[in-house]
Amino acid sequence: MSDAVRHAIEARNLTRRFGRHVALCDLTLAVGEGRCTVLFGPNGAGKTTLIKVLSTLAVPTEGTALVCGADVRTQAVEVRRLVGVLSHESFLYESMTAAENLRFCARMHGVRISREEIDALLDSVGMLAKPGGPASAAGSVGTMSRGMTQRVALARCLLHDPKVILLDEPYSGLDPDGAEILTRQIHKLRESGRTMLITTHQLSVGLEVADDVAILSRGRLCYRADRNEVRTGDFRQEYARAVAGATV
Amino acid sequence: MSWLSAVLCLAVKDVRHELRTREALASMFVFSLLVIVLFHFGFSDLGAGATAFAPGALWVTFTFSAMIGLSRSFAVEELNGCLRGLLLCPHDRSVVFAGKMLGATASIAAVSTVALVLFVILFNLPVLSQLWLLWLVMLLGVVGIASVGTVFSAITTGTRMRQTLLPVLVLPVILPLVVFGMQVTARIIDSTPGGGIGGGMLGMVLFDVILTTVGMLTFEHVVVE
Repeated sequence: MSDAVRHAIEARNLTRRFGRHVALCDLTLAVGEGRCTVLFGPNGAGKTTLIKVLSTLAVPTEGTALVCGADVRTQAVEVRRLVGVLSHESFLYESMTAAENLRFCARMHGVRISREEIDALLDSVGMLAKPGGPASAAGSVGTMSRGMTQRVALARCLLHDPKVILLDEPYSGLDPDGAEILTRQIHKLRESGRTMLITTHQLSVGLEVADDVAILSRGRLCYRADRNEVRTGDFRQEYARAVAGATV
Repeated sequence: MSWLSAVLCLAVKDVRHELRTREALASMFVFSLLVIVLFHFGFSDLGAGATAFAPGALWVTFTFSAMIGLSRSFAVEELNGCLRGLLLCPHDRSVVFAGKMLGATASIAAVSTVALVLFVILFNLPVLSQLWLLWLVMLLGVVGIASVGTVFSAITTGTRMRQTLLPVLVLPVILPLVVFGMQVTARIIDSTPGGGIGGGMLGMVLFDVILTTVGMLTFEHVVVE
């Protein structure tokens, strides 16, 4: 088995420039299969750009990025088949119900899905498929709270059974209850053996779910460690240093 | 899932969304109605001479009501980052272009068909036997407008000046197509026997093919950062 396949995500000397602004600078990062890597960083660190590059929404200026061995530049369609993306944006149509959104997404992914399977999927993310309950998925997405929308977005992300899940600031805008539900879902996904790359600037929730932690600052990876080998207090200091460095 | 199935799936989603919300359809229809009524009263003193202005008036109605529809086409994808959601689907990005273009064509063609019938009635145009031909010319025009409009609508998505920018960008590109459309329409209304309708329509078909091909080839570069 090649090195590229052992790592579900592998970025080598990745650089992404927007005009004169360098969003990612010579970034090298590998995420092992089945590992949950949480990438911390202040606003503007390049976290979203990295997720965009890995999900083929943005093209790297230099360097390469592989997802399960597929190159984001030359095998973009294959990469999109392999990844599921959960972002602070839900990718959901407000005029459609949760089930309609999932059915449309399934068709676009070439996945055959029955009504029962959609109900089961919604149920798995804590959304009741039947009307009337506090987390009813019967109404249109436009009428749902942020927390409920994010749960449907998670169901959407998992619909095609992706091997790699990219979560870009998934806790953004969630209240404590919503954040707790999402954390439970992330734990479930870890147990199912999926590879995850999570970006966040919320230390406590990120550290709770991480197998590996990393800090991105000004587009550069400035810290990387196994979660079990780093104490929370030390990591907080490390992060504070990175943020201070980024804002100077 | 085949390329065509994905395109149809996206187009059907857009048509269903439009039927449900009627955001673009209602605006396009009211605009078309107002323009036709205005032209009707504006040219009413000319009597039979009003027919000479009919092709221009008709294509002004088609073109500008299409601009309203196209400006809404990507607005629905802007909310909640839905366009990114589409771009994450495991297909070539031309699927998104073709699906959005087909959806826009359906909406614009539906309103333009109603506008065409109203126009023929209000202007008392003697073209009932050739109404299908006029409809075909309109459809050829709509396909080209939707194709260019889809690309520019994607480009202007997220910009504050989208509503203003879209016609400014689209109109110069579709000008030859609209001119062809007006010329063919004039000949159909005049009932000129054979009078170059075939050539004009062939020109429109060629334009549609070129514009759609260019749209498909450039769309990836338009939407990917």
